Amino acid sequence: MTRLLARGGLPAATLLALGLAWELLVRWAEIPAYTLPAPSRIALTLWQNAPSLAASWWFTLRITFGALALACAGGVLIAAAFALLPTLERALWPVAVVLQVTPIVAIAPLILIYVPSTTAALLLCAWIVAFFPILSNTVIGLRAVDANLRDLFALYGASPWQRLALLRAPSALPYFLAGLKISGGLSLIGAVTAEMVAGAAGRETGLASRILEASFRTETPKMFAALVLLVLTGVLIFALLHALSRWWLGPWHASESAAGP
Amino acid sequence: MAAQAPGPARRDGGTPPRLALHDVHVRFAGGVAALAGFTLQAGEGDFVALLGPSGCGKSTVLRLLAGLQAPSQGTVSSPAVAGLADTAFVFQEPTLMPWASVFDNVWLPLRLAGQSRAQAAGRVHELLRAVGLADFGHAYPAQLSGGMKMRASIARALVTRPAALLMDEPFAALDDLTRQKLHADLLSWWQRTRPATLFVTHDVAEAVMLSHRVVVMTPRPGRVAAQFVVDAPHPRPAGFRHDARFHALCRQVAEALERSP
Repeated sequence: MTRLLARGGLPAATLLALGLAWELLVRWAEIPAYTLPAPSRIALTLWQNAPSLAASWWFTLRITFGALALACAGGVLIAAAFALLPTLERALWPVAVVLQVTPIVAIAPLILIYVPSTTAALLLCAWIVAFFPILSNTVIGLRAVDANLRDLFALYGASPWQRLALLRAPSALPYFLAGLKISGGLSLIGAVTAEMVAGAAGRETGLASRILEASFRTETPKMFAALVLLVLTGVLIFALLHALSRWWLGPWHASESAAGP
Repeated sequence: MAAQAPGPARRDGGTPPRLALHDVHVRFAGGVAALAGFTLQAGEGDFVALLGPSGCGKSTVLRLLAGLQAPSQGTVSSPAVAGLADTAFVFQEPTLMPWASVFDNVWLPLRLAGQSRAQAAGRVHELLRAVGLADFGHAYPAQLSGGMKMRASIARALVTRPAALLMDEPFAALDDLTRQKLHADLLSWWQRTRPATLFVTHDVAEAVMLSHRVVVMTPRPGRVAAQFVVDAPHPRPAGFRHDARFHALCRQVAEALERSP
C-alpha cells in the first residue's frame, strides 16, 4: 500500500506542486495572460472552447492512430518480406534509410503538393516518421532466433511457414513491441509536424493548426489549451503501449516479468 | 558390445546400425580439422556415451548425425540424414521456447508433424506425467527450475518415440543432486522405447553410469582413442554408484582419457 502510494502518489504530488507554483508565480508577478497564462486560465479556456477543441483533438487523434496503425502494418509486412527475401532487403533498405534520415518538415511541403487530399498527405507524413523504428526492430527480431531452436526446427523438418509463425514471429515480438513504443510517440510528432506545415487551411483542422491560428491572434491561453491536449495524447499513447507490452510479454519475457521501475 | 538386457524392443533386431559414422573427416574453412577418421556405430537398444576433452569434436559428431552439418569426407548414416524426422536432439541448454507453455513446448515436434492440440494432448500429457511435470503444463519455462526445464526438454525429445536420440551434455549445467536423480530417471524413460542413443559428456562417472559402452575420443582432430563395455545390468541397480566395479571402470576410462594424446 505504501509502495503503491509512493509509485502513483509521488509523481502526482510533484505535478500538483509545479502547477501550484506556476499559478502563484503568475498571480504574484501579475504576468499578463498573453505572455504566460496561469493554469486556472488555461483550464477555463479549455472549458470555454471545448466543442471546437474537441473536434480538432479528434482530427489529430485520427491522424496519429491512423499513422501508427499503418506504421505497424507497413513495418511488419516489409520486415517479413525482408526476412523471406534477403535480396529485397538489400534493394530497399537504403530507401527506408533515406526516408528515415530526411527531416519530415523538409519533405512535407512536397508531399502536400503531390497528394491531393490533405488528410492523406498528413497520414503519409506521420507514417514516414513512425514506421522506421518498427521496421528496423522487427527486422532485427526476425533474425534474433536462438541457434539451437533453429536447429531443432530443421531437425523436425519444419516448413518455412511453420518457422515464421512458430519461431521467428514470437522471437521478434519483444523487438516489435520495443519499436512500437518508439513509433507511438513519433506518430504524434509526425502528425503535429505535418499539420504545422499544412497550416491552418482546410475545413477540418487538428490541434497543431489551432496552435498556429491562436498564435497569429496572440491567443496564448488557447495555444496552451491545445498544447495540454497534445501532451495528454502523448501520455495516453505511452501508457497504452506500455500496458499492451506488459500484457503481451508479461508471462515470459525478461523485460516485463522483472520488477519494473 | 554389451549384452543387451532382454526387454520389449520396439523393432525387431537384425537391422543395420541406426547411427553410424565411417572414417569421417570434418574440416572447417581455414583448415581447422574437427574430426579425422572417426568411426562409430550404435544400433537400436544401444546407449553409447561419447567422452572427450573439450573441443575434441564431440558436438560435431552429434550435428553430423542430426543432419545439421555434412562431413568433408566419409559416410554418415542416421534417420535424420536419411530425411526421416525420427531423431531427437537434447541440447546442453534446455532450449525451450520462452513464449510457449510447457505443454506447447512438448507438443512442438508433433505439431510440426501436423498433429493438432487435441490429437497430441494424450501423448503430451503422458510424457509430462512421466517426467514429473504433470502439474506444470500451463507454466512458462521462466517459472521452472533448471532441472525441471531439462525434464521438459527431454519430454519434448521423447514425445515422438524417436528411433535415435542425440544428447549433447544435457546435464552439464545442473547441480550434482539434480543430475543424479535425472540419471536414474533418464534410464527408466529410455527403457520404454530403447532408441539408439549417443550421449555426449565430459564427465567420466556420468558416462559409466548411463551407457552400455563408453567411447573415449582424442583431442582435436577427434578420433576414437578407446572403447569400454560397461558390463552391468541396465538400468543400473540401486547402489551401482558405490559399487567397486563402477569405480574400477571409472578409473580405467579416466586413465584412457588422460593417455589420449
